[in-house]
Amino acid sequence: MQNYDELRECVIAGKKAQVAELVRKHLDEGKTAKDVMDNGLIPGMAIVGKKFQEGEFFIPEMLMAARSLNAGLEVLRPLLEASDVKPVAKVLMGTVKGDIHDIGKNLVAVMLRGGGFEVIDAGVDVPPDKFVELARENGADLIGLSALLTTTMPSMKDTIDAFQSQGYRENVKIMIGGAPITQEYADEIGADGFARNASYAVELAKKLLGVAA
Amino acid sequence: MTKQENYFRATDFGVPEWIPIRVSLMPATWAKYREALEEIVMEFPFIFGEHLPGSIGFDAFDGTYNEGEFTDAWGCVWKNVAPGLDGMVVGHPLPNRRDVRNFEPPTGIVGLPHGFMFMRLYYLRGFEQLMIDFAEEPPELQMLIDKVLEHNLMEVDALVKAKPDMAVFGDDLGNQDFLPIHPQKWRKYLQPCYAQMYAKCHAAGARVYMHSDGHIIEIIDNLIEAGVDILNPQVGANGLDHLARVAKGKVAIDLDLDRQRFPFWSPAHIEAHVREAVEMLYAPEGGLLLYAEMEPDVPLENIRAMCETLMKFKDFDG
Repeated sequence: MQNYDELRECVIAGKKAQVAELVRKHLDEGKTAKDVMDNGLIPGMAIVGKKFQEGEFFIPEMLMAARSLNAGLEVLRPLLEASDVKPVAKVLMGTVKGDIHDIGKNLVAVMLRGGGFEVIDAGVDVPPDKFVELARENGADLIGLSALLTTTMPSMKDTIDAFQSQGYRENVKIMIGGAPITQEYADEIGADGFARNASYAVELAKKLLGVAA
Repeated sequence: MTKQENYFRATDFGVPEWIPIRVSLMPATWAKYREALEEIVMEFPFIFGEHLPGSIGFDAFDGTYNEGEFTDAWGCVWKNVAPGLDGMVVGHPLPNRRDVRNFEPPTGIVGLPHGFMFMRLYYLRGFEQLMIDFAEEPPELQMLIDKVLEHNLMEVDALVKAKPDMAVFGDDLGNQDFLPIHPQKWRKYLQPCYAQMYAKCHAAGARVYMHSDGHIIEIIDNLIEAGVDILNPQVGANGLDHLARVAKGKVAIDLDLDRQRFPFWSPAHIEAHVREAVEMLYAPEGGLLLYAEMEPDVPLENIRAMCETLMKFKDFDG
């Protein structure tokens, strides 16, 4: 029986083909899909997040790792669905009304998927009511709001207010991020948390939802 | 001494009489505040020059500031949902690597708008696709860079024909708190591009002014090596202490004061911010300029406070 060191290393190095091959190998050896995901793929991506935080990895390395992780998940997906394995949680991500910048939002989505979350991408320029509607429809546990511009930061408050006024605020946690965002602003508008970049967003999501890191 | 003479004394470390100051008002800011903003502009002729009431068309935006979509000369599709502010590229003409091989940049002179080199690469490819290119380093990456650079060199040749004192460039190289790509890859692929363009400017006797949003601390030395004479970095993304450490005295800094905070600060905060910046970066020989960009969410009282504060600190002498 192999341990998952090689699989994790291949995720970190962004070796897509090898990741898919190793995942198949672990399954052939009798490991469950959930075990391969929880102990091989996701820990590999967590190390990528750490390396990103420490300035060793940059966006290209992060995206390559995410692609390799996806290659592994593709192999696992039918088995995970057949055994009714649920994602860590569902996150609804979007750039708020008035703002069409999506680079930051997309990076956060990549890292959250790498952390075992299911991510529903609401897109950009998303009106407050649309966030609430999509959260209800999809049963989202966590909402991620992104804004690059100071001029669109008020849309974050409007979105949180929409969850409140429509009686759905208690059903979700809300985290915010983007270049001009600060913890102080998150506190001021009643968000549950602020993450300064994609890697920290995964840690924050786990913390907010009480998921083991 | 004229303002221009003093400006270049500051950029050239030639002992300016005052710190050059500049306030920029976005078209959307004019559209929001209108005559009330005009009053402030007329209060501060030193900053804005002589202003004739009614000379600004409050809602008359230039092409790219208008709401809607348009395609630029490179085939990149821009979208703007906030009239009077910058739009962004939403349609990339080279989504597949093989597209790069047959790609032809514009053949004529179309200018060097903000986002002329690094940003142009991801405008063309899409951000994630370009980042994967930087990870995998296929031949198409260098091919694309070469094509964009070749066009840009032609643009610089046209630009310097008029023998300007200064050539102005803008390209956002950083994310908020990190560089998107490893500094080594930046040095390998991008530094030579800027260096070739800026060498042409220097050969024509023009100083090189470069704006970049985002965190660029790790490559400021390389930007200087590439020929940047005046750098316009953001305070918030880089930190005053880091800028003082890596840039003070080595390159003229046209400091992009922390516009991410202007909407939320009080006038007292604004004064404290400018004071701190000046105390950390001022040197009698020069090398410091101050710049404040005002978006429409900055309260009018903060715009006035910034003007007053800049007028006060332009004469700072240690």
